[in-house]
Amino acid sequence: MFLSFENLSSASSSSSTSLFGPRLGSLVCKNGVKITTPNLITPTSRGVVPHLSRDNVLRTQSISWIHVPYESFLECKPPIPTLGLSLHDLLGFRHDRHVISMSLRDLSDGREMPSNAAKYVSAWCIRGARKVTPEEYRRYTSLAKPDIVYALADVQPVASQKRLIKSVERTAEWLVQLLKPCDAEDNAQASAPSIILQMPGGQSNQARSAFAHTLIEPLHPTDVHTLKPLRLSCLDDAISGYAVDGSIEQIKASLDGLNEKKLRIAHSTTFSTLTIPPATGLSPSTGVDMIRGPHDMLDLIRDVGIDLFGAEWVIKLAQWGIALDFEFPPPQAPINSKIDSGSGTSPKIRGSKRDIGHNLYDVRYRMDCTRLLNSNSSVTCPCFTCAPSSCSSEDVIRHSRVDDPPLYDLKSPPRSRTPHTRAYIHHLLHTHEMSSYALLVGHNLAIISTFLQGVRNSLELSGGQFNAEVDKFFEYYASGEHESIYPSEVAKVEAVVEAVVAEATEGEVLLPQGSGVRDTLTGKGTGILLFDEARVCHAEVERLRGKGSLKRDREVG
Amino acid sequence: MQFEIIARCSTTRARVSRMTLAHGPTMLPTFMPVATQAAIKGLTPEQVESLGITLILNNTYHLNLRPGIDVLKAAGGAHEFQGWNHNLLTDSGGFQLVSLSKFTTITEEGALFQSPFTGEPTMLTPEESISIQHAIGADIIMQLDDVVSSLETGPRVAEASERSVRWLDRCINYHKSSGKDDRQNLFAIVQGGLDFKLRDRCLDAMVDRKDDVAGYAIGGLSGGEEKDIFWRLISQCTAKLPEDRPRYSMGIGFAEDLLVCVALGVDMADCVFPTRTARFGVALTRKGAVNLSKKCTLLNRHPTDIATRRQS
Repeated sequence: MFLSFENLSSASSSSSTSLFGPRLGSLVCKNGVKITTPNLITPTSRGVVPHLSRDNVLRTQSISWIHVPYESFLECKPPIPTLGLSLHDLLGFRHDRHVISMSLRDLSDGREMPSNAAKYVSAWCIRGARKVTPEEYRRYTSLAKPDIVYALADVQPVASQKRLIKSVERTAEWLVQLLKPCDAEDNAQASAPSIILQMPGGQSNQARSAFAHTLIEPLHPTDVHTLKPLRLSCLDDAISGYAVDGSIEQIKASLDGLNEKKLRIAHSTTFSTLTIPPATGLSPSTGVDMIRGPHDMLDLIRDVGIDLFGAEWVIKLAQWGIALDFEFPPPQAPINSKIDSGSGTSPKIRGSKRDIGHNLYDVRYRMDCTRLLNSNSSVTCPCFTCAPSSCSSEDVIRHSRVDDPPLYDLKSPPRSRTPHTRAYIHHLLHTHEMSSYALLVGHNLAIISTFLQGVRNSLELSGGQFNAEVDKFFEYYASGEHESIYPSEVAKVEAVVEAVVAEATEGEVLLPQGSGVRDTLTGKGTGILLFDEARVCHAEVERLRGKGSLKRDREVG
Repeated sequence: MQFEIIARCSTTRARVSRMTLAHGPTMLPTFMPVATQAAIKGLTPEQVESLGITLILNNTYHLNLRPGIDVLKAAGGAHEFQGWNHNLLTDSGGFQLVSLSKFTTITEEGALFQSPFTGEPTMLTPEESISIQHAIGADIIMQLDDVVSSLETGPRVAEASERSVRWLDRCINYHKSSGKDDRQNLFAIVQGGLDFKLRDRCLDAMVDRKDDVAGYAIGGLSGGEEKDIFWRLISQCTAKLPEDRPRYSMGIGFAEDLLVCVALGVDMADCVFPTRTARFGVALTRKGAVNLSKKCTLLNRHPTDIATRRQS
């Protein structure tokens, strides 16, 4: 087994809640990578951390567990990771610093898919849907050599009871197929990857419990035979952790009765692809059904003891031009709007609470030559945006002998440099420069990592304090539920979007009729004003200056 | 500016030199990557620096529109704004006026164009161009020149060439009187189209002003003219330009052209080719360009350029 997870503490001692209480853990991987939990999982798209080049991945200390959804490789036949290089070597991640997990599907992808069948799972790649059988998946994993494998699971949203039972059965069956030792691979068993199981059951707590029960009941006689070399007493023994989704109650149903010394992982559904299949007629579940920000993460840590969080939403925010700026524990000083004038301001106040970040498309950042974090923040952001440094003179590529030191270093530049500013990234966003996303992804990952470090510090201290700090955090920072959106707030956001469009077009406001600002804010959005505001700004600037804008101009003119 | 020649080729006019500007030394010959909007496409300034690049180019036209001179002034100049600690060159904005705006009219006063955003008529005079470049704060600034397509023929070419000389005088006057000439260096741009006689006249006039300019650019080329004419014109210019001034060939980016130019005595060149071709999925290697988006490169597991890997 690749991973060993140690549950260091449960903040609450009473036995009834300890199973789901907040917890501090330590994860040691065979290659020596150590991850203290709660922590984050860095997502990838086609095997690349979005917007980060290899050197920037190495500059980002918060990246240690990297998750690779395999489906994006299926566009090529055979998929590139089957050609002989392991995921580590193919994608340029470091064995001594990075742990790589792999799943077939992108767990954050909520799009509607052709339904799975008994013999295959529908996966999505750039060329459309692909069918992947458990045998194929097993082969892919053995060739890609990830450290951790997410077992195939039938977790599509389903409507009928019958289909639900099937999905639970299939998931268990596919797990057995994945575990089945092959003769040829027997000697490789020692280096077999750890297995994470995505918990099926959908909207039904019953189905979730039933599946949990399947995992811990003694093995079926036929399975005992096939899995003999593994010496398992139940399927659960072969699993290192569970990937869960749904509301707090649903997650509890999935985990109840299972070994608590195993990892609990939550990935976030990407907002833009979140759809409720109309055919099933399901309504979105109440409570936490997707991770939209630190509030949801705190809920999941406090109420179900989640250890690892997929950071898909963090990347998404960077793509919308949001720079995160919040801390845990929250600032002691009460929210004071007086300090919000001038440069280096804290994020906007909405209602009585503060945003968790800055929408850098906003015109207010045009001349703001300060770092991303507000001037009162106690966080020291280590990212390459806030703390850029020149690479050492030995690492600079020298193109000829005359470039050699000491000549080159006649005027040696200072090692650490001034942080990149809000005004600069505002400019890069408005001019479609790709660097803006790199700078923001690096920053946002670091902020989430620092936030979780704050959570761990708080959990390490004697009990009770964590819950109080979570309450204070909820008091201080706006979580942005739908109900809290007043018409006046919507109007304010519309004004911001209008100003951003005005800047992008130098004075002329070209907001098209029914551009969907209001739709986004009141129904189809994320429910968080900051996010929706940034998303609309991003979409408008993209539309105005992006591909085909000249053609549209001609048509209008 | 300090400019010293370190070595010369024994057979060609190629030379190695060191140009020291306000933000440190730059070894020549060099290629300047283009950071049109204050960023090399997709890279952070730290990454650019680690590539051993000490001189990049910003486009005045674009920076003037966005972020705007007020923002650059608030940031303390373009270096500070984009976090670039090394040398910077800005063009005059004239080329983009012609290439991007359909309604530009050139008058003796300056270039009259339609603002791409407000649609209002806007005038860019040589003085205004230098003033904007002063606010940007680049180490090397370019005169405003009268740009015509390199395929243009007839009296317009002569007119443009002569006007560029007159505009150079206005740029020199404005630059000297501004008091910025201790940190910023003005380059002249030799025009004259594809006509050898015109080039010669322009060259003579500009070389006469040698004491007032820090270096010379060769403009009006690389616009689709025949290579046979291109190299002859470059050769004609470098033969006449003073030895002790850096020479900058504008818009040259292909390896073959760069080699020819360097052999003819050119010290600097710029082009969007490397950054643009990268965005289209092409890697430049010592064995030529490799289109990484093509299927046939799928099975090739070699690093894109083994030769450039560090020897350690």
